[in-house]
Amino acid sequence: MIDMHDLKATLDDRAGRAPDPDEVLAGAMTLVDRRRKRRTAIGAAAAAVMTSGALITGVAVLRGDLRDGGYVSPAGPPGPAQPTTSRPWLPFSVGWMPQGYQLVRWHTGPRGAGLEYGAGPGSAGISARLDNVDKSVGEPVTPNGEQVPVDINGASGTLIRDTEFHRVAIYWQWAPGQRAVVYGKNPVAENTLLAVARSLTRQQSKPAGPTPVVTVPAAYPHVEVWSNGELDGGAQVSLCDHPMFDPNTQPSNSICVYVTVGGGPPPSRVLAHTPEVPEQWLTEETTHAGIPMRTTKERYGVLRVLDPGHWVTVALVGKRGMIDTTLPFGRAVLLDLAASVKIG
Amino acid sequence: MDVEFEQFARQRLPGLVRFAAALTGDRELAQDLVQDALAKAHRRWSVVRAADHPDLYLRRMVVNGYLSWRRRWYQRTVEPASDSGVLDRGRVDDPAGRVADADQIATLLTKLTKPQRVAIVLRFFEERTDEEIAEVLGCAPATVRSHVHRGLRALRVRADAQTAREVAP
Repeated sequence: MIDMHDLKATLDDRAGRAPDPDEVLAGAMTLVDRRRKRRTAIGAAAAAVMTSGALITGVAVLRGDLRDGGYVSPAGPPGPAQPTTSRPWLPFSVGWMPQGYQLVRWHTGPRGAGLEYGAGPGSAGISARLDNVDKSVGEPVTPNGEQVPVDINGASGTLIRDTEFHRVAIYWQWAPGQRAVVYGKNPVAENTLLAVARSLTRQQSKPAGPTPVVTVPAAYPHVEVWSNGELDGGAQVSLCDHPMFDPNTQPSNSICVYVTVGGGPPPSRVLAHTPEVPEQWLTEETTHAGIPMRTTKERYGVLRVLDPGHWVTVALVGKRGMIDTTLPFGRAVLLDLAASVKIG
Repeated sequence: MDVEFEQFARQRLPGLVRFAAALTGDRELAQDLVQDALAKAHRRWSVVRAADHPDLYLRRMVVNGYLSWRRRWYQRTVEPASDSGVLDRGRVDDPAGRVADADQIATLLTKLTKPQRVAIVLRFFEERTDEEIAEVLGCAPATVRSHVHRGLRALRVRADAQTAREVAP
């Protein structure tokens, strides 16, 4: 049994990890500005279209483009898969990191790629990432602070010094449409951060530790990978029919498959990704490609035990209506995916 | 308007981010939720400003974001197992009945439904009344009592007699 005191202490402890209010406010105002710009763009384009006498069609197209982030939705349900194998990699390498820093998490996907290192819970942290700036939702990492020009191996960069919250960020153009950001907190010395920034190279790298390797169905070609560095800490691959570069413009008819691998006891349910299905218990035994698996009753989700210490779940994510439309062929996709997962 | 809104937000943000962090157990998700809530509050500023309880209005926005399935689209990190939501590892039994530590409680919190979790956090972290929690969740106070009661039972909290009476459905 738990004492009420323990519960309150746990909640207090979680609250102690709250984000910085100034950072949150700055982020919110960035969202506000973006919405304003979008409204202005819609208004201007609508006026232009009205002039041309094609109001209805023009505005419909424009709104569709904005909502879908400029991507065209598939004409129909996904067709037969022409699978390819996805092995996570990062499009850059970090050549140097101060002693004592361990990889905490990494990600790679259409929005960019990044690595995060930490010197221990609540201690200094350094992250290095590449943002696809024309696609990323990420804005300047520390909006408030003194800006100083710096040289990064011949490229002009900017160092932002946020003395109030002991943060430093360095960013520079990595390639056309791509920005490199190196960020330090709690605190990290500027010279240390500059040395990390200057050590970045264009050599591809495979993240440390085991990584999930999946066979990507042709219907869900947009792949994003998040990992806590070690397999036992968990990793997730999302495979989507639309690219997920901007949550504000994510089309509502998108559907994804989340492949989650982890260590320890296998879960008894997969997460419900739609409000109409509160939870999905893995109750049904089945075999696919000779591999024993467990599925939810409606087969929204699949569990496969990879080895005695590791497991993978595969689940459809999207609105209930889209899932129902997808299920007739989606079930086979889920089972194929679960069967294809390997630890690379 | 922006100056007035920023003053309003600055006053309320410290409590709001702590609430979001207590609810999610995840700094980045908390930041994401509060940022979105503030952006929406800015858009509906005239309504928020005129609300009887602006604090509760903001919390309702945060909670709506938390309950929204669309949040999943851009939940950016794979969270540690303690409060995953994504990496659900199933029930962790405590057959010995020993006093659970913080990690165990955090794990147990993941077993609650989201409305139960919201109700527990508002009740025992923010010490809100049933009526206030009902306003945030958009349900009846009796439903709140049920969420809290079931939530505590799932958490296996040894509630004292007074608490048990207060939360019994």
